[in-house]
Amino acid sequence: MKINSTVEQIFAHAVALEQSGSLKNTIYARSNKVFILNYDHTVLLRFKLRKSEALFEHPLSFRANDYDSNQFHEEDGKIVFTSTAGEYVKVKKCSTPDLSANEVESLYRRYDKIDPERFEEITLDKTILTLLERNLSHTEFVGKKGGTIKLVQRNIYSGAIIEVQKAEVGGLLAVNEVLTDDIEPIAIKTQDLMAMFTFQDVLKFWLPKRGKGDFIKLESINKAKRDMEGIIACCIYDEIIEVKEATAPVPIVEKLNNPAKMQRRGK
Amino acid sequence: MIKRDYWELREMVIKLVPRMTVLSNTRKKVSAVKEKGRKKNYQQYNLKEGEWRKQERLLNTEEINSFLEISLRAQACPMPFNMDIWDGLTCPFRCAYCYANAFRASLYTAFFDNSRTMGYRHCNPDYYKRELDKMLPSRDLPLEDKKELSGIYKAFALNIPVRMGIRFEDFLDAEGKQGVSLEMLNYLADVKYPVMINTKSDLVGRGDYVEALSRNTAGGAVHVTAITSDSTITKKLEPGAPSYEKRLQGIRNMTEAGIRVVARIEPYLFLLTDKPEDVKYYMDSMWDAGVKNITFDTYSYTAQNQGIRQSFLNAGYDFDRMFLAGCDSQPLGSVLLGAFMQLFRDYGFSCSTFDMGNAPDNDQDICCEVGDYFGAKGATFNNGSTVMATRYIKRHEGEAISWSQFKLWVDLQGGFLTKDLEQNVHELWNLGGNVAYSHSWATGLQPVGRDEYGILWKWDSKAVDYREKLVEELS
Repeated sequence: MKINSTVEQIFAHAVALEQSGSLKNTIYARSNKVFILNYDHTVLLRFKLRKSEALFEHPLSFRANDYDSNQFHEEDGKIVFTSTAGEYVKVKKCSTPDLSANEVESLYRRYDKIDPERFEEITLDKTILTLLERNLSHTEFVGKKGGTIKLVQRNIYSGAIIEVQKAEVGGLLAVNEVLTDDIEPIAIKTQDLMAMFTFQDVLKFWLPKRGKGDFIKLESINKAKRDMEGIIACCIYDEIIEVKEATAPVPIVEKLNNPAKMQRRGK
Repeated sequence: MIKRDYWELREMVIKLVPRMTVLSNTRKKVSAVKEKGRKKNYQQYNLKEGEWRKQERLLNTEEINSFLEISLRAQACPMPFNMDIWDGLTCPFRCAYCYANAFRASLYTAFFDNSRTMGYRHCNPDYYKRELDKMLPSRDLPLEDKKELSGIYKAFALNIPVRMGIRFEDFLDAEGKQGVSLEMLNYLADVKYPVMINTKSDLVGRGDYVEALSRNTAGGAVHVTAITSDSTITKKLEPGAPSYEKRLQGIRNMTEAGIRVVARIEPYLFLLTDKPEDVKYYMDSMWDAGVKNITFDTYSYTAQNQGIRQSFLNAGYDFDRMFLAGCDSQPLGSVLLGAFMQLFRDYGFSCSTFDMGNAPDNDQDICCEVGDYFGAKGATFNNGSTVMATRYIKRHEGEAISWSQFKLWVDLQGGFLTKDLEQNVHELWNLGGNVAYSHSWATGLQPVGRDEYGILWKWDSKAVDYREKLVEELS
């Protein structure tokens, strides 16, 4: 199949992230969706194609680093990229990643439906990245009820602390910028945060309210331009050193149907 | 001296460096060993001879043709005199944190066509003994003549303890059957030359090894690495190595025979090897086994390797958090280690480290914790190193110490092991060279002036601990 320019652009961004070392990732496509999952499984992005755009009739997946051309197909469990130059044809065959597109879509669904009561919505635009230091490992989100979100970076090499907050215009903040609840310090890897803005300049983030989650959901503001959503697993300040999976939200349907069970779970 | 106790600092650092969560399992089939592929049966056509010729480079799979060496870390290390006995492509202990495995395998597979078939190989003990026999008379030379020697000949003449097990484990099962290390230990005992072993094996606790070490009147000491007493962590991070209990038994056998056994906690792994109950058991059991000395170090920068990181992730541990807090940030890693060591010191152990930030607080000048032991038996050390420079400056608290003063002190005891080493240490003294080994990291050490040879250093016990200050500023 030959992909259109929108999909090609998504792939190109994913490849750029891979090659810059910002986000080593794998690309999955199925029907009208493209997923990008990073190497560490801390970031999963989902792009939805427009109705007018060609669907991926067969699920496919490949490592971003292998991407070679906008013309490709799957053959005997391998992804085959074909490109031409003058009278020559190049064929590049690559093995597919461990996970399938279907499995990645299921993974996305585990975290997809969030309970808005447990999450706080904020909007960030790309300019914020110019105030953050790329080489500091983590960026922390913290905020108090009634205040605004603050992004904090701690330089564990020099002792410096960077705090970035939205400046009030004429002493006022827009209503949706005031937090309705406390946001406990939670962090994400700075590279992961920066990678998100490769695809869109303005993003809406849902941050878990205090003690109510350990992942962040995000989506593009301008869905007409590009319908992008994503999940980022948070970094947490407790004394655990084991790598644990972020807690998937309890499906709202289950919550409504079985309140007693929810109570037992302490939700 | 760090003011806060370890548990308080640990809590503070937990709030500075978070742990990762993932959306799904990230276990991947990645080996810590990055082997390079070489073409098999590669042939090249020789135009002149008009024939195909096989191109291959073969490694001697039977024997290591190495001899004694002065370590590449000698600019910082007081005991840099090494003797390699065994070697292999990978060590069967398969420690997840070991970067030596990764580098060795990468190197051998890149340059040799037969490295995968090598198994374990060992030195030629007859060759070693023959060459060492020739060097024996140098030990009786007057000090002035010894000063004229260089490198391994000088180290040997000065009676600097030789170390076994630096590059590879010298006490594997194959050694138990073939006894090559044992032969060298017996030789060193016969010629009364001091030896120190680094190992994770319990084989050194076997009767014949204990005898070879204990009958050496020049001293036989053993560093037994055990980074934690937790059996689950040990199994995950050191899957092929003897259990903690087995190592303890080996230690007990040695201490009962009067051998100096030093427990080695290297690398110290933040939040992994510091669980309160494990630390308590470690101290109780080591003390009961007769260990009174412990040496520590943080993880090495060299370990920042994708394969090693994945090995930790596969074991279910957050490498990034452990590495960022315990190593990548020198001040954080150093202050954590210093406070961690203090727990053991408070229990009664004598504690030292190669970590320069904590070197002034070491209980011994020799960070291997064998200075008293070997010193009493007539051994000397590599005094011309930055760890020793730090200790020298500290001993003269309040005085501005020049390079000339330090150099004079080193010269009086035999001098630098080589001219190059002297130059390296001088560069480090003046904040040049490889900053990782600079004594400028040492807490309390301050530059206070200059003379024609460079910086004047002073040690001030009341100086602000830059490491603790950093934690406070960030919290």
